Amino acid sequence: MNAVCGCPLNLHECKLRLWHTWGECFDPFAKFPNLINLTLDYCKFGRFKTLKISGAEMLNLIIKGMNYWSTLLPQDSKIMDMALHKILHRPSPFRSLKTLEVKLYPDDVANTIPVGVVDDLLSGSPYAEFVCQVPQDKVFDKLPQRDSNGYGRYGEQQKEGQDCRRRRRRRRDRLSDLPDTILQHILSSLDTKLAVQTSILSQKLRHVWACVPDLNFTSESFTPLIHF
Amino acid sequence: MSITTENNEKMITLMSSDGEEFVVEEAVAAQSQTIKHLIEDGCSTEGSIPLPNVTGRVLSEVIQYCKKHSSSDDKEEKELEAWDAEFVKAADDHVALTDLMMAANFLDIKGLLDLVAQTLANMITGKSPEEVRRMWNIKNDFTPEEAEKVRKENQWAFE
Repeated sequence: MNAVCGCPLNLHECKLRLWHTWGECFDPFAKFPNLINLTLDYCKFGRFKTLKISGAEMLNLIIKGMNYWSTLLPQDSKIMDMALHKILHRPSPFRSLKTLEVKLYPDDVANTIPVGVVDDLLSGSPYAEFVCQVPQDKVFDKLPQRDSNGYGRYGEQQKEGQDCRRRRRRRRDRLSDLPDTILQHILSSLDTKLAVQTSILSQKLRHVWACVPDLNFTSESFTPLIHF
Repeated sequence: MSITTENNEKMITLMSSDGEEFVVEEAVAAQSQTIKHLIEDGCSTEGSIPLPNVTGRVLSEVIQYCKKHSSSDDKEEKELEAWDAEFVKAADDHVALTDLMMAANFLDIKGLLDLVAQTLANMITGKSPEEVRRMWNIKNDFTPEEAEKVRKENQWAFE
């Protein structure tokens, strides 16, 4: 195995837009044959349904923040099947896949992954060890509409979950819950001096300002020249 | 489901996370780049387009925005600005605005994203750190020493 040569590729909060039509092959990671670790962290797949992730040597595939990725997964089984087919049923796409880590965030409605998907992932990669990190208070508050395929087994938990969610909602820190890209967007609408001042609010916000794409200074931000 | 109205305008059904269905003209729905791409891909030909990240309450506001912006042309820019101001005023509390922001981000509606970002930014402007923390329920997790360090790092901004 060529694992030693493989280099990790971590994509954080990136937008992957795959422009192509049905039936066409597109494998965004094909140029990384030695890829062993792939992290998709809040990635946005514009047209994910024909996404392929190849990598015979792939050991770790981590998909966090499934909200974009699973935009259509839970509810539209046609598209879901398509996606799973593309991802899983290519000739042994993850022969040596050992870990598939899906982190579910409690406040994301779309993060309810139908059980069937998990089973399919496992069957697609017989040696896989599925690590599904579901927070204790994970709320399955939206279910797939179709459960003919075994999707949506969390039915009983739905009502209770909604109540919990409502209770927690009031006291949450809404600003820090926002993904960094959105925070950056808000900060870029601020005067840059003010944006920098937000670093004092909390650890989470400490470095967000530094990634703001637009800087916006006005002379009023600074002490008048007369003070020099 | 894609049905056609009398004036030949194609209709699209959007389904919110809580199962509420909204039937809107394609031109309105296509204000969202995300939905536009889904339509182009033929995802709307059967059934409705599920939007599992957006609740019905938020989606109805988003649709309101899209309707207004798809029907207005450039001439009415002034009027549109006034409408936008009223629109965010209606969603006044910051919790509703962050929900709207998340939806605009997910649905990729640039105008709405900019509008809400600017509104939130305006809400922060002119407030002390303590006021901002209270407003957003942000926990100050800095020790006094760390806070001092952060201030020192970018001292120019705190002067």
